[in-house]
Amino acid sequence: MAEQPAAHGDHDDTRRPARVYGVGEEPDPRFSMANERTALAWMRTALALVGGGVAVVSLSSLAGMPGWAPLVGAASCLGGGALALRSVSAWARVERALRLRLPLPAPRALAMLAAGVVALAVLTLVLSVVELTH
Amino acid sequence: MRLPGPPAGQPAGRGPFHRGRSGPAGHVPGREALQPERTALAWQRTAVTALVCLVPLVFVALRTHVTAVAVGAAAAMAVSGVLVWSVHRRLGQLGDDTRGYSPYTPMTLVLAVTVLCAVGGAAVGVSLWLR
Repeated sequence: MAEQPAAHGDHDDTRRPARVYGVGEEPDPRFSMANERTALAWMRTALALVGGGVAVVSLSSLAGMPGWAPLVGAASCLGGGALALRSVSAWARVERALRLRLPLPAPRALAMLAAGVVALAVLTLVLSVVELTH
Repeated sequence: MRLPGPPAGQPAGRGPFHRGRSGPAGHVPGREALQPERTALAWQRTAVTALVCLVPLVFVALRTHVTAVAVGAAAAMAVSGVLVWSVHRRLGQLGDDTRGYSPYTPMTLVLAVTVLCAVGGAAVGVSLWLR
């Protein structure tokens, strides 16, 4: 992505991060707010994964659940943490694209999230079946 | 992002999102279309979710005596306190404040809480599994 100089008197813009607000022109505020809400929705999804993971870990310490349960919880926590990092970087990339009037980046995180959740569900199912049959 | 300001001769900071000030909704022509209310609600939901996530983490860290996670959870709670303040400031920015603003700071605070929770939860999970 080519770096473009700031326009419309934004040279003295002190907003952070500079890699976003130091380039391009001020977009329509509705688009910026929609981008912000999308990032927050991703962040809540990440928090849900982390909260679910912590809940599984908590239950496994309380109710004598299978030995692998804490690992599933830990995996969910780590996935949520990675998704949170991704949501902030995606917000910055989209905001930058809006300011530069560039096409918006593809939402690849959606496919990654779906794959991760399905993998976690399959892992839990397989481990449950193995636990039941032994 | 810069929002349209109030009409000429009218002071800023009297929009519907300024606590304790009851300016009528639709004060600024065209402001409704910006949907600041939806954005404010999204921030509030996110802040509440971040706080709620910490409760089971603190509980399980204390119960399993994982000191490092208990310390991390305490740090996350401190960050959550700053987050609540930061969200309140953000709601003010979504009012009639015409200065440029960025959601980056509160967003990085939410990120910090989420990552602290994630690392803490994973640490407790692995320590339980190894026992």
